[in-house]
Formats: sequence, C-alpha cells, structure tokens
Amino acid sequence: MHRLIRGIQSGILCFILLAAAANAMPPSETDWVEQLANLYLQSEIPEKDQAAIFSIIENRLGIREDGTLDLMQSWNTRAQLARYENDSENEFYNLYFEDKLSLIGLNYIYFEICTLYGKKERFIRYFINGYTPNKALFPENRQYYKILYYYLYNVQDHLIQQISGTMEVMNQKPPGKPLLTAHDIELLSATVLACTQLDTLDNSGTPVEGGESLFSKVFDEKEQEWIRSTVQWFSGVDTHYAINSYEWCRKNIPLSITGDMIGHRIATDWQKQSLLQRSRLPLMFFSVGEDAAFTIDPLFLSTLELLKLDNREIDLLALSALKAWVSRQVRQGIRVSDRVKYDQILKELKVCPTGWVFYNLYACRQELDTLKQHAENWHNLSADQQAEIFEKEIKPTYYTATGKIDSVMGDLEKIFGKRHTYGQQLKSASINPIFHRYKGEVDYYYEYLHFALIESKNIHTIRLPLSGSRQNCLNEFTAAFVKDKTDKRNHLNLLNAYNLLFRELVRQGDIVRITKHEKQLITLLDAGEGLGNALTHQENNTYDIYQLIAETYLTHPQFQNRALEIARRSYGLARQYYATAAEEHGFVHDGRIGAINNGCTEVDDFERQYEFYRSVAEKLGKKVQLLLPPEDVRLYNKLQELKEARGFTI
Amino acid sequence: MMRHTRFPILLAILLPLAVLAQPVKAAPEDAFLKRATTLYLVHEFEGMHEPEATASPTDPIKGLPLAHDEKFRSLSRFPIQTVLKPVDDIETTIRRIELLTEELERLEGSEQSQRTRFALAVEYFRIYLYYLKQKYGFLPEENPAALTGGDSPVSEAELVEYLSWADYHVKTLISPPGMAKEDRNTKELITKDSQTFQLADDISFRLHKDENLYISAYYLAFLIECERMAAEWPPLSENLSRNRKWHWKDGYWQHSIDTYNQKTWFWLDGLWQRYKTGKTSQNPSAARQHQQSFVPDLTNLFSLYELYFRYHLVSRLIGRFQKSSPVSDTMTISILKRLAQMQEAGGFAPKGYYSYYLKEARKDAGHTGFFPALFFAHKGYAITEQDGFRVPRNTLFRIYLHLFNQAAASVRYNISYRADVFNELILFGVKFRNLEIMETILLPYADRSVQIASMGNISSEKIGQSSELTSAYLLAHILDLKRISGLDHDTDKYRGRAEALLPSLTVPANENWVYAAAIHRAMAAHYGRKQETGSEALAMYHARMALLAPCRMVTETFGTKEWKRFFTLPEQNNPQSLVALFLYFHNKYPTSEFAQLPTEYQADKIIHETIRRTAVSE
Repeated sequence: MHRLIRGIQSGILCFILLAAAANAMPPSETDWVEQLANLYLQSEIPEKDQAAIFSIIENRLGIREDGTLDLMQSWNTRAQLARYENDSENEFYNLYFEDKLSLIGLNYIYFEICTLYGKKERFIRYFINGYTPNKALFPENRQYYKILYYYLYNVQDHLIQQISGTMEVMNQKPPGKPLLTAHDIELLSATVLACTQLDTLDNSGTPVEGGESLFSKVFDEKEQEWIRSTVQWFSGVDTHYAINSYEWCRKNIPLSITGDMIGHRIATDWQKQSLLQRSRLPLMFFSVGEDAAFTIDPLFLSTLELLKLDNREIDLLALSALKAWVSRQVRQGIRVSDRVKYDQILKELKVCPTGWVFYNLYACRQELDTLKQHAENWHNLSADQQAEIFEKEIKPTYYTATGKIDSVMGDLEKIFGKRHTYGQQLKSASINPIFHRYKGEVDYYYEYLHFALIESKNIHTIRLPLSGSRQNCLNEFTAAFVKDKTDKRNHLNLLNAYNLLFRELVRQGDIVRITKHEKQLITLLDAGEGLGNALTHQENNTYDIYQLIAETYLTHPQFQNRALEIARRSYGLARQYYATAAEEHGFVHDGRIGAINNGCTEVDDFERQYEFYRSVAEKLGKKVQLLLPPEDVRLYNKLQELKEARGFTI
Repeated sequence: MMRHTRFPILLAILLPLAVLAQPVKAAPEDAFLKRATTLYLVHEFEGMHEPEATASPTDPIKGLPLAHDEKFRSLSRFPIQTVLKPVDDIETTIRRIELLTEELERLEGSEQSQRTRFALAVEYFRIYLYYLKQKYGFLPEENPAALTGGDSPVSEAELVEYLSWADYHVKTLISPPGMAKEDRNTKELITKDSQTFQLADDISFRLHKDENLYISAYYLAFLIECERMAAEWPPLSENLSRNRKWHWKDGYWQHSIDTYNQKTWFWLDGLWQRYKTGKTSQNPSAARQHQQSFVPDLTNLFSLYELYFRYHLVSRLIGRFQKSSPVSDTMTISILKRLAQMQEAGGFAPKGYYSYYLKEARKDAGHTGFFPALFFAHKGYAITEQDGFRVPRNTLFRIYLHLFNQAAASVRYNISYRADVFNELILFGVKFRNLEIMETILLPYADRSVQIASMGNISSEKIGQSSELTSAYLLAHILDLKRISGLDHDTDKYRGRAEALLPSLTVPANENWVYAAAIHRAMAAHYGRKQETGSEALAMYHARMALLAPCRMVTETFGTKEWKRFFTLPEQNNPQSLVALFLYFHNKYPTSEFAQLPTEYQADKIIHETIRRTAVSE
C-alpha cells in the first residue's frame, strides 16, 4: 500500500516534470530514460507496459532476436547515460531509479521484470547468449549479484529435475535416452559459474567489525540460506562425481564445467593458505574453514577429494597446489611426525603424472593397510577363523584394492606405453618403482594370507598350479627393486615374495621350478644386483629362503651338491653381518675377528648358520671343518666356549 | 728423471680424488659434532631413564664386573630446571606465540609491549630448544626413518630462524652496547655492596606470570648468544632486520657477549645480595629497603644460577670468551660456592652435587680453565647409557673423549691432577666394552696417568682414584676380553705391564682380586696354547697365581682359620673356576715347578674342599 502510494506520487511528479520538459525543449536523445522510469516505477506493471519496457531496453542495449548483444549499441547507451547523469540541467531524480542509470542497471531491470512476470525463456535466452559472454562489460556490484541470484532462481528447478531424471534413466537396464539436452548443459555450465561467483562473494565477506559484508547487504537471510544450499548442490564434489560417473555424461558434458568448480575451490583454499603464510611465525599453519589448523590433514583430504573427479582440465592446478601445501608441511610443519609422514606422500605425489593416479594410489593404501594388519596376526587365528575372515573381509578388500591399483596402472600405461614381461622381469622404463611396489604389495599380502589358509588345512594331496598373482607380485617387486635399490622396502618385499614362492614350490615338490627360481634369486643376490644389501641383519630373512631350498635339494640326490652350496651362501651371509658387528664393537684385531660377548644378536645368527652348514655337510658325509677356513672354525668354537660361562669345570 | 715427471701427474690425479673422497664421509658427522655439542652438554633430555644395574648374576656372559661408579652416575645428571622449562606440548606453545604476536601488534610502541616482546623472546628460545632436540636428540619412536636423502626433518635454517626471532625480540629491549658508550657519563652510577652497576641496566620481566620469577633481558640475551656461538652461526640480527640504526663493527660480537655476561652477572649478583640480606638481616631498615625490591625464592634463584652456570661454562668452553682470565676463574668459583650453599639450604637433588664440584674446581690452584670441559665430560656417563640417540655410541664416545682430553690438557699448575682426569676417562671408556677403544685409545691414557701419578703422591684403594689401580683395572678388562674373544695372539706384549701393575691389585685385601685373577687367567690361557719354550712354566705359574688371588684375599681379610669363606664369595666372580683352571694345568703339566699344590693362604685346603663338594654334588 505504502509503495503504491509512493509510486503514484512519484509517477505524478514525473509526469509533471516530463510534461514541463516536453513543452520547454525539443525531444532529446535521453527521453527514453524518463519513459522507462515511468513504466518501471509502477507498482504493478501491466502486460502492455512490460512489452514497452522490454522493447526500450532491447533497443537501448542492442539485444537481438536470438538474445545476443550488439555491443556498439550498448556502448552508445553507456555514453548517453553518462552524459545524462552529468547534465546539470537534468532535474529528474528518483531514489528508486537513480542507481539503475547504468548498463548493469538496465540489465537488472530487464532480468527483474522477466523474473517477476515469469518470462523465463526471454531471461534465459538473453542471459546465456548475450549477458554472460559480455559480462566483462558490467561491474560486479550488488545488481550484478542479484542478477546471478535471479538466474539461479529461474533455472534451478529445471536443471535439478533434468539431472536427476537423467540419472534415473541411466540407472535403468538397459539405460534409456538421457533427458539432458545440449541447452541444459549450457545452462549447467552457466549455473556452476554463477554458483562459484556467489560463493566467492560469500567467502570474501570478512565483515569488518560491526559492519556487514556485501553478501549480507545484497541478500536477506532467507535468500542467503537458499543461495548457500543451491551453491552446495551445484558446486559440491558429490554432485559432480555422480554426474561424471556415467559414461554418457563423461562424453557429452564438457570437463570445463567440473573444472570451473575445482578451480574455484582450489583458488579459495590457495588464497586462505597464502594469507596464513604471511603471518610472522616461521612455522606453518593450514587454514581449514574458519580456524587455523596445526596439520595439513584436513586440507589434504579435502583437496584429495577433488582429485577423484579425474578432470584433466584442472589437474595441473590441483596437483601443483597440493604439492605446494604438502612441501610446506614437510619443511615447516609444526609436528615433526607429520613432516616425516608427508615427506613420503610428497615423494609419491611428485611421481604421479595425473591427479587421478595419485587419488587411486592414495586410496589403495587403506585396503593395503588392512591386508597388512591381517597378515600380522594371521597366525594367531584358528583355521576356521582364518577361512571365515578370508571370505568375509579379505576377498572384498583385495578386490577393491586391485581395482584401484589397476586403474592406476591402466592410466600409467596410457601415458607411458604398455608394460611387457621379458622372461621374469617387467620392463617398462618410465613407470616409477613406487607404483610397482604398491601393486606388488597388494598382490603379495593377498597371496600370503591365502597361502597360509591352504597350508593350515594340510591339503597335501591338492596340487595347485602356481597362481598368477604370485608370479605377478614377484614380477612387480623385481621391477621395483631393479629400478630403485636404495629403498629398503624394495629389498624386503622381493625377499618376502621369494620366500612365499619357494614355500609353495616346496609344498608342491616342484623341483624343476625351484632350480629355475633359485638361479634367478642367486643372480639378484650376487654383487651385481646386491639384493639385501640395504638391510640390517635383523631385517634380512634370506636365511629362511636358503634353508627351504637347501632342505628340498637334500632330498633329491642329483641336487645334493647344490644344497651344500646354498648352505655355504647362507653361512657366508651370517658371517658377513657378524664381521661388521665385530668391527663396530672393536673386536677386530690385526684382521682377525674375535668372539663378541656383549649379547649382540649377530652372534646368534652366525652360530645358527654355522650349525646349519655343518648339518648339511654332515648329511652329505663331509666335515665342515675341512670346508671352512680354520679361523671360522675357531671363532665358532670360541663362541661356544663363551656359553659355557663357568670356564673350566672340574 | 722418470720419477720426477711422473710424480706430479700422479699427484694431480690423486689430489682431486682425495678432496672428493674426504668430505663425503667426514662432513655430516663433523657438522653433527659441532652442532650437537651444546645440546648434549647443556640440556637434560626428556625421557632419559635411569640405567639398569649392569651386572646381573644370572647372566655371566657380561664378563668382568665394572668398577663402582655411583659417584659419576650421580654427577652425570643435571638438577631439575625450573626457570626455562622445556616445551612439553608444542601446539600450546605455538598458540601462545600466535596470541603474543597479535597482542604485540595491538600494543606496538606502548610500555606493555615490552613485556610481550620479552615473553615472545622466551617462547621462541624455547621452541628453538625444542626443535634442536628434535634434530639431534632421541629418535622419535613411531617413525625412526628420516626424510628423503637421510636428512633430519628439522633443517638448520629453521633453527637459525627461531633463534633469530628470540634474538630480535630481546634486542629491542636492551640498548646496543656499542651505542651506550658515549653517553655513559650522563648515566647515574650507584655504588652498592662494593659492586658498581648501572641502574638502567636492570631490565627484567616477569616470566609466565609467575610472581616469583623475573628474568633479566640480558640474561636471555646471554643464553641466546651462547647458543649462537656454539653453533658457529653468523650474527643473528642480520637475518631479520637489515635496517638497524647502528653499524656492526668488527669485534663487536666479542664485545657484546662480554657485555651481556657482565650485566647478567651484576643482575644475578644483586639478586643474591638481596636474598642474603633478606634472609639474614637483623637490621629493620635494611629489611625495609629490600621489601620494595624483588627477592626471588630459593628454588628459582637456584635454578637461575644453575642455568646461568651451564651457559657460563659453555661460553668458556667455546673458548672465545675470557678463556683463562683471573676474573672468570673467580667467577666460576664464586658461582659454584653460591650454588653449593643454595643447594644445601634448599636440599635440592642430587645431594652434594655442587659442593663436590666446588672442591673439584679448586684443585688446580685457583685456575679453573680445565673445569668446563671436565664438568661436561661427566655428563657422558648418563648420555651414553641411553638408547635411541641419533648418533651411534662410538661417536658419542668421541665427543666425550675430546672433552676429557681438553680438561686434562687445560690443567695448568697441579699437573698430577691430570692423572685423576685420565682415570675418570678410563672408568668411562671401559663401560663401552669395546676392545679396540680400550687397547688403542684408553691404554695410552692409562700409561700417562701412571707416569704423572708417580710424580705426585696419590695412593688410594679405590679404582678410579689410584692411577695404578685404574690401569690394572683397564688391563684386566683388556686381557679378559682378549681371552674371551680369542684375539689373544699378542697378549705377550702386556706381560711386563701386568707384572708392574699386579701388586697394586693384590696388596690391599678387597674386591680387586677379581681383576688380578682375570689378568692371571688370561695369561695362563694364552701361554697354555703357545708352543714355545718356557710357556709351559708361565701358564702353570699364572694359573697358580690366579687361584691364589681369591685365597689370599680370604685369608688376609678373615684370618687363616676362616678359609671356608672362599665358598661364600659372590657367584658372578666365579672363584671355583679358578680352582678348576689350576687343576687343569696341574694335570697338563705335572712336572712343572709350579704344579704342586700351593700351601700358602690355605689354597691346598680350598682345592681339596672344592673337589669334595663337586664330587658330592655330582
């Protein structure tokens, strides 16, 4: 009512002024302004007047039939408006119209009237074809954001309907024809952009104490709430992930739509991080939401979430942001344990060519850890328990993990070319050993658990062919080892894989394959390759493998000499570790190695391997005293003497 | 001619090789030694545990027992520090720094901002110490792996930065020493208790809102400066503030640490005077006068002095600062004197710690140049018994060996005191049970110790005090390890030394017979295997002497009739095996002149009794 009265008043006032002006002066080029104002300021605009307003604005802005914009016309109008405002003789003034005397203002009127009177088509036609492509023309003021809001208001229902409809259709078997049209996709693209802009406005609004942010000035509380939920829907990771999970969508919806969203999220995060970086403390904080966090964990996880969208458009940005943050954590993190942890992650991050590869590699860690944990206390369980857990937990975990690591390997093959297996070794020069290690570990732990299951059942009669994945993990570990010999884990893994392999072969009694693999192993162990070099004596379990092989060989007459050779190697390894320990404890004198009596564990290994060698030699009717140099025999006897602590006894 | 032409070529090839090869092996360790020194010297580590008793009777493999070293064990630990507490939760500390930084920005320029600055300086210094320990201290348990490329997760540049921030904040509170000179005459000088100090220099702030704890800004500046010089970093302030008003001159830094030290000392001295007068004064007017000023309670005063003392010693040890001036000699002694007094008054653990050191510091006729190194060398006892340090034990040994060496070399007047230092070194070194260290490193020190002691007049029954006894102790360990390890082909060369030292072990009747028996047994085992003329007799002789050692101890201590006490001797010393040893050689060389059953010290009775008991038990 109030507004109506005021509208009428001002209308009358305008009319009088207009009439006076018309009488006094010849019609000027800016007459249309007053005309538009009169039409617009009515409280209820009838259909006829709406058409008049549309035609005025379309003429002035140069909106063509198809919605595109004639820029020459727009610029002319801008100049006119500027002149009109600066004209001191121009007495036309209205509080409600003053701020609309600009191009953005005219746009605003156009869109507002479209929205108010349900002219959706007109709105969308101009918004998509004319307004958005030329939005650089318009300043980002409150009207600008209001227009974005109107746009969302107009398209949201339709889009959500189309998208969920499409998904429903896709989920049918067989999938039907998707509802989304090319036009809808265009709308979606504009919607995501609008959402990111509104979100930026919302985030940047750090209100000065007591003051209001622009966001809260433009929109009232109800509108704010509505906008936030819409933004959440259209620029949330979940929505995009859901859309992208359909083949048809991935083909037809351009990557740039999701790219805009990811780009926006990362840019927001980046800005926050660099603000914190500027704080005076040399140590690093990370911003997550409102507060500064001591560790990168939450930020890392939320960024990782973005990588799962597999968007090549934005990969470089996402990866470099992640690398920047993680390396900051490594250099300046507050907790030292975090630094060490993220150093490993950074190492992996650096070798991943795409974000999608890193996402999957990181994701398979969890399953791998579960498998490792099971492997650790596998032997404490009864056979029934093992079987149950294996079926219920381990198999699904393994399939998930394999799925992930296989998609990593698949991607890598796309980039670096196919992998080939030449003989026993996996040759593909460019794939980083880290990937081989992960793939090998997933297979290895599954096989390890599986093997224990069969072994515990005592099914001696069943002869299993060597399963493929056992061979696989050996291949992967060999590839990892050959490529990176400095990493301890590669040594350990390969030895473990061989251990498992020989255990199975021994169970099967497949002596031919044992000799074949034994030769490979010996080549790896020899100086050229140096398998096991990086391990300390507690970690090295090569003895177990040697023992398995030697004992099998002993039972076959034609391989008995080989058994002695294997036992000698086993002893040689233990002696080597012992010598190093003796050196460290100062028990080497004039090149002789003395017996250590301070209870270090190398002594036990030395004695055990000596005894093993002796027993193998005895079985072949030989004396170890004649096979070994006298110093070694003396050393062993000395160590035995130490056990007899009393020294001389009566 | 050929030689002449070839030589430079060869040299040209070898030199770069040598240059290349050298730093690869040496550099990280040297950097470590240089940097970690203050850490391993000055600071107690969190989580350091009391070592377990070394010799347990059930585990005879451990070998010869170690000499009793409770004294050194108690000396190797610092009293608990209450002033500068270590960071226990890094996140709380960081949050505190954040708050303080914000507060400082708000208060910039106001009087209150000074207090905030000081608090910031203290916090930065604490996190500097925290990360220093992370870098060079214990390895973290959950993840001992270092970063890629073997680096520590904490970088050197980072440490510099923390210390620089501490330095920056504290420097804004104190006037630069070079500047104050010109207008010194305008300042008021007051004389009090015959000490002259500038009133304006007493800039102290309350720490951690503790009413009883004020710390002078100069005190903190002194600590920071010591840390910087120990790390051999360039002047810190250049890292952060390039637009300082005054110009740093050459030699300024030497000057500055002197100044900080002086002013800290005046301040501490003032506290001491006030504490003394506050406690003892019967004069009400004097008491009233002191009511106005801050008097710390005993615990804090002790801690303040204690921490200052450590850094005082470090600054002397670094050697750039008043190495051997009478002033610093007196200072060291008087700090010790006050510390000893306060420790006694407050009953702070470990008991008698500082009074022991006070006595020790006076040993060199008032000269204390040797003292800092000796004081810190003692810390090696506790440090090397811990597991999980970033450095191997052998490297730790080298750090402390160097300190012992330095201490001995710095003894100026009382030369025979060097023998004491060497003896302590030997006690420390034997603990490693490392044959090579004992033979090649410790033995020369033992020889020198005996030489020096023969000039003086030191005689004691305790291992560690008498040089001869200590040498014999070392020799027993060497020979025993040689016997055990089978590396005894050159035991021969110790024969002369053994003969010279053995009497010192057997003369007073006490536990030392164990070592004498060990030496004899090793000799017997060695000669028993040798195929030379005379070795037969020697083996028999030593086997006999080995048996006589405990017999003699028993009869001399308890009397001839109490020979059965032989069987009550501690199990881990294994006296019965000596009887077996003798009988073994007795059967092996029945014709030897030493083969007949010895009658002295009731040994024959003991042998018969042993045989009887063994027969019964079987």
